[in-house]
Amino acid sequence: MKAKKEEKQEKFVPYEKSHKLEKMKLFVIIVPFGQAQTIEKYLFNLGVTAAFCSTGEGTGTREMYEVLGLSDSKKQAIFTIVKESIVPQLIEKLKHRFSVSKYSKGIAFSVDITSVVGVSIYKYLVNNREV
Amino acid sequence: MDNEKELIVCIINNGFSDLVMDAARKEGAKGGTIFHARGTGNLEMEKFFGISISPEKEMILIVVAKEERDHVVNAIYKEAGLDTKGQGIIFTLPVSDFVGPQPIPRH
Repeated sequence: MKAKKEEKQEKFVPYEKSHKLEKMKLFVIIVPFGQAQTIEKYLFNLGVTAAFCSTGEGTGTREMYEVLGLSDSKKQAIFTIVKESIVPQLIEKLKHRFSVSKYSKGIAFSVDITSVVGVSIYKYLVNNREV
Repeated sequence: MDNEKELIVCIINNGFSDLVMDAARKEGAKGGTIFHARGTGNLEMEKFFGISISPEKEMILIVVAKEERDHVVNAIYKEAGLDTKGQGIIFTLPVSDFVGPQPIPRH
């Protein structure tokens, strides 16, 4: 009986063996207060599923602020997890956005993610609809 | 790559961000972003080491060039390290992409 049961069970194949995994990055985008929604729109158009927004304060030097023409130092930071394949497009969009006007200046950087726990969380973050 | 950057994350007690930013700026950092946060220190650890961890914290993110990183981190540690009242925890992460103001070359 036991042998029959084992035969019935499908052989377990880890997700990373059966699918090609895409690398992910944590993108942090810091923009002047009130402009986070615009950036989020860009992100969701590119197929990003998760973005976390928080408020902070800028501490740039006086000279830097004069160059950029900023007086308000309140900032919004967006922490988002994106897959590596859309990073070039996102960088282009951000470069364009930051060069629109001196009031839309910002800074963005990314840090590599080394691990994710849970297949469903991974699927959600990389937005793999076809799987 | 000669324009590699590093992210410095600095978690300090509330009110010490000016100290950190002044120290960082002296070593060539252009700016940083402050977030207000709340610490969740381990009570047992606090008793064991005989220190108190005030829950109000500030988190500072600074992006600097790779060559400047060590100097900036050292300066911050001297001003607001764990042995001082700032009780700062400082660590750095490698940054893979960067978009933003490019550094003005020094003459």
